[in-house]
Amino acid sequence: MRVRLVVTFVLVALVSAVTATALAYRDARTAVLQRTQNTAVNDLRERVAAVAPGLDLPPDQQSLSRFAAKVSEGLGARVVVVRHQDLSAVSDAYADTEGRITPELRAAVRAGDGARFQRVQWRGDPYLVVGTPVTYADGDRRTSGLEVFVITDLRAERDDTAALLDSVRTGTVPVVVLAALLALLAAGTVLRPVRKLGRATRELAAGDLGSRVAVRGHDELAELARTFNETADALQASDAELRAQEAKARRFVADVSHELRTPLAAMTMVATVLEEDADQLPPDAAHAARTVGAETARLSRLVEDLMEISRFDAGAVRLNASVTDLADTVRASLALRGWTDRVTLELREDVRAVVDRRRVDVIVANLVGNALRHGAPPVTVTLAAPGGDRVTLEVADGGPGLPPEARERVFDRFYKADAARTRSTTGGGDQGGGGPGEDGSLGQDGFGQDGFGQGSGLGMAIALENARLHGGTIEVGQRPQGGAVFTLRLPLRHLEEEGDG
Amino acid sequence: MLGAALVGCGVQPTGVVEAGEPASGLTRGMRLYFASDAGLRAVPLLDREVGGLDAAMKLLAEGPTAAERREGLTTLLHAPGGYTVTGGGDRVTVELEGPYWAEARDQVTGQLVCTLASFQSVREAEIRADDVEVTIRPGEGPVLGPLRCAEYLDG
Repeated sequence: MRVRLVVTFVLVALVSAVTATALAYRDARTAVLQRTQNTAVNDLRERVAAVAPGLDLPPDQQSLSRFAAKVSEGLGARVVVVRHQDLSAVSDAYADTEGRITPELRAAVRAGDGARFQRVQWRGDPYLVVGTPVTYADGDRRTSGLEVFVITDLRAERDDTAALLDSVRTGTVPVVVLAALLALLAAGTVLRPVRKLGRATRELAAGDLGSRVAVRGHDELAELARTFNETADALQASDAELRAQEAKARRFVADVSHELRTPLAAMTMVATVLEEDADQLPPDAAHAARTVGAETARLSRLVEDLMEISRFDAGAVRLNASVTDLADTVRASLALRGWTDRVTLELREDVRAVVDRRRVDVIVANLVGNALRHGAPPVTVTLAAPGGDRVTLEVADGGPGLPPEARERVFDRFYKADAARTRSTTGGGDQGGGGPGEDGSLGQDGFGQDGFGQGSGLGMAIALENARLHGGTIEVGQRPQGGAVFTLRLPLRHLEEEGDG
Repeated sequence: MLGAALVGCGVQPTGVVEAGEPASGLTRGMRLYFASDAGLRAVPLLDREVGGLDAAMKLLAEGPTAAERREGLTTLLHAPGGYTVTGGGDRVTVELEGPYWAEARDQVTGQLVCTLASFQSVREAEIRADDVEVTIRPGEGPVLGPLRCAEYLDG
């Protein structure tokens, strides 16, 4: 922009300077030459008028020479050529006049009845040749056959106009420099607001919705700045509104979850009692009691997960980190849920990291539970420390794997890749391992106590939030031989201990 | 662009350009010659009636007109007492009763010689003014001439 402005200014200055120069030069040269020509013609006329009365026609060579000399004498010793029919006389016997008095001028003077002139170039220098027939003074317009030519040197005129051109040319350089300076100045004043606007726009794009520019003046740039500010105002307002609504919605979810907890606890207690007595009930009632128990437990899990995710959304989670043996943690997590004999473990021992043990337990439970629930055996858990500062935990299964579109959305809340199949499995009651009462209390781990039944739909989202809280990630991939692989990567030591949710 | 502007620079040759009236000033017939700073100057006697050669002397003695005076012309000839001018062919003789008051090379002699030559060439159609020889015979002193007008014009 700056370069373009400067180039444009300089070009405009150059064009104007050159055009003005060319016009002025042309006019000056024309004027100078015009004056010289007029003077030469008039001088010749005057001089001839003074000398001609003494000339007898027809002249002889001597009187013709005398005439030429006298005319020349009055014209500053310019070369004068006089012709009368076959006779001709030159004022300066040594001057070469043939090259300067062209045949066309000679013919024009002979044929016409007025003075003529012609500028010629002879030996690299310009000359003005004026020629005229001489008429009688007594009013007889017939020409006498006498012709006079005078050769005027134009070198002085040429040098004068050349000097003019030189001075203008040297004057053009400062003009162009001045134009460049002015252009830089103009570029500064024009571009400064543009740059400010650009910076404000970048800040806005980077998320600083409070970014504004100062509006100065009433030009197009000020108008643009005003429009930008209005846009930013509108954006900020709608953003604030959205945030308020979102916060309200989150609070509502949290409140609802909280309110549901107390009645659910009572329901769970009743359902547990009913289930315990189910054996003594008639088959239909027993089935109903068991169903109520299972659904109540699922509802409890959902409420717990909702509360957990609400805490993440509200930024109210805190990392309670300490040095932890990860292999131990994984084994304990699986043992707690009774999955130890359904999972193949390849754990690198003695990997210690500064993590929140409870949250790692939640991640492991969710990943392995997901694999058991949706994938197919064998489910493999691999713990490795490939780099010096990172640790990876892979949970792989032998199932068909996830289609690509599901991979992108698997961490979304309430996303179910294959809801129909999972529900039918649950309905069949095909559960191994722990019974419903095995770890009966509703823990905070966000994962249901009955292992891998129907998930809440929030498990993977919670796992990801926990990983992020540690400064880690969870990626989903595909094994070459089929089956999904979830890879948790955690730094061995997460420095930002405060939760950043 | 600068180059394009410079192409038309310098003093360029032209074709033949008209420049108004032709030069004028040639005369026919009799001329009077008057003196000036720049030597003899001829003045045509356009339509004035002139008798013989004697009249030429009178006209010279009268001097130039007011307009011609302003151009710097003057006469050095003053009417001599008694004189006779005779001409024949290319010869003119001035016979003075008294002495001649000037030298042969003086401008006043040129006035006399050239004017008489001009008159004689008009009287004798075949005679060119340049060819006329004038002899001055004063009553006292040596004879001047024969003199030709051309001698006074080369100055």
